[in-house]
Amino acid sequence: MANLTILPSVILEEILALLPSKSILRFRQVSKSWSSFLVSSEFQKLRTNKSTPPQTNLQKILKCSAVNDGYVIESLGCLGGGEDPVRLCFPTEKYMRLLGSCNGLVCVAVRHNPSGVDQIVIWNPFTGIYRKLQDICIKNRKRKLQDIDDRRICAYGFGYDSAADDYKVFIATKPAKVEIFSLKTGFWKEVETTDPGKDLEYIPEGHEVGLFLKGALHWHVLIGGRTKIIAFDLAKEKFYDVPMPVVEEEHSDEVEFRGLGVVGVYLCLNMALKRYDDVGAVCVMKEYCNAESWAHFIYYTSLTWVNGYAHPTLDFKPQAVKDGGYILILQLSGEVQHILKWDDNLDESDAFDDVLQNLKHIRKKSPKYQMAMPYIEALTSPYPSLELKQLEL
Amino acid sequence: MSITTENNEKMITLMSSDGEEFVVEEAVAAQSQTIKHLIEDGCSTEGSIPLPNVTGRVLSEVIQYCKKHSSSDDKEEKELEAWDAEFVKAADDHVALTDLMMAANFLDIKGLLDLVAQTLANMITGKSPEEVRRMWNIKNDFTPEEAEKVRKENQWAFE
Repeated sequence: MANLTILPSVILEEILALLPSKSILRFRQVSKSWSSFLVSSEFQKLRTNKSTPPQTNLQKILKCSAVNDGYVIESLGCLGGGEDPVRLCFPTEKYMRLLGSCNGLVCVAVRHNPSGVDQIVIWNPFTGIYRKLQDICIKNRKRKLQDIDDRRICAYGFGYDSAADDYKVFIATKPAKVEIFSLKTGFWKEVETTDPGKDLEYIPEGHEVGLFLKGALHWHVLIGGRTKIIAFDLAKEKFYDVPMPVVEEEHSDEVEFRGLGVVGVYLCLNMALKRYDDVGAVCVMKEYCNAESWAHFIYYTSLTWVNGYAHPTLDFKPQAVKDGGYILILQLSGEVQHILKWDDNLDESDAFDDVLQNLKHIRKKSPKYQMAMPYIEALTSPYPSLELKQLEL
Repeated sequence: MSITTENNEKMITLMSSDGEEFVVEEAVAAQSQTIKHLIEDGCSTEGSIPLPNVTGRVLSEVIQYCKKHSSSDDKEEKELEAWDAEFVKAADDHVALTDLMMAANFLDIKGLLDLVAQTLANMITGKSPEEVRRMWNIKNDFTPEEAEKVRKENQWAFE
């Protein structure tokens, strides 16, 4: 009965939706229609509805670093998994920066020419599919302000708006301008910069990338001696303040908050004691937006072992989660990173002794430039509006 | 033509595309949502229900499945699972399984559809793109350049 050349697509889809991700990627080679169907958001939804078999959504670490004349992106595999780094196929080796990662999609800024204008690319490192966003004239913040019209980036971000089932790229430029790109509509639009969003100008260098958590992007800003957390709700497209840890008046001069991070489902801050270069703690906000819920974990007393890089300007980028334990990615002066395991469920610990041996290669060659962020392997399409013909082949 | 057995079970007759007739209890046939609706609409009173998309060979397999699943209750879940595994094993190859799946789709028997889909998925998981093309007679319409591009993008998935 079966004329197999006309295997009904509804039947085929039922079967394909049950396959593991690796097989799906391989079968993109079968034919053109399979190739585009298997990475479409339609197929992704079909797969999510099936929910069997369990998809391994362990976070992996993506690293972007300078080699010779270019830049490469590598996957360092699952934390603690002991995998060798795999170089990923990214369409260019020009100067690039990772701007954010969410549900399997990664936002990358690529600089095509020395004038400092960035091209934004949304890329799925797992399927290899990427989408260049419509140009927007933005320049790098490091560039000197040449004239008043020169717009400079003060903050980036990338996240998911669950209300609209849409992914959004956020760019704030000086003076006070915010633009949002919607992957669904395919357009940039300007949104009003309200308080506290205007304070985005005061983001310290190296902290421009907003951290995605609970439908919002988060930045840590320093205005004079004052420090605060600003968030931008991607659904409402509005700014709001996130409360800082409460510090008793008598100690307020003694502590300094340096660097914001997301660990699992929590916002974290690096709190340093000004008097001592090498004493501090990681603070964790256990209940979102509740100032009282900030708690201190992981006290460090000495960081001299970090390859001699112990330094008061040590920044934390606590970012990834694995098996209920947490991983901190340390960023030192924007150059060097170190990964530590924080192997316990929000209890005090001195996990700083526990360096993940198998991730040591991060430091091996001491490249000129590198940054890392967690990502997951998912089939999420950078084209959520289901225009299959748009898929680049 | 509806017959009643001694146990007062209503029987109905199903006719395959190649003219084979199967007399089954209504409760068994009603495992198929498609047949159930036909019975509800009164299509079975005039005689047998014709199933133009299903051959006798496939229909007899489907009926086997429906009989087993209408007579078992939840307590026997483990035993039923084992029976299912044997059942798809007996179907032998992907052609028979594809036929069975198409019948399950047409007759709207969710349990059978899921069972066969999972079996076929397991069967192809480790296969190469070329093997999959051969299985379902799919034409490779890539130019060599396009094929190379897709291969490169997902290189690690081939290791």
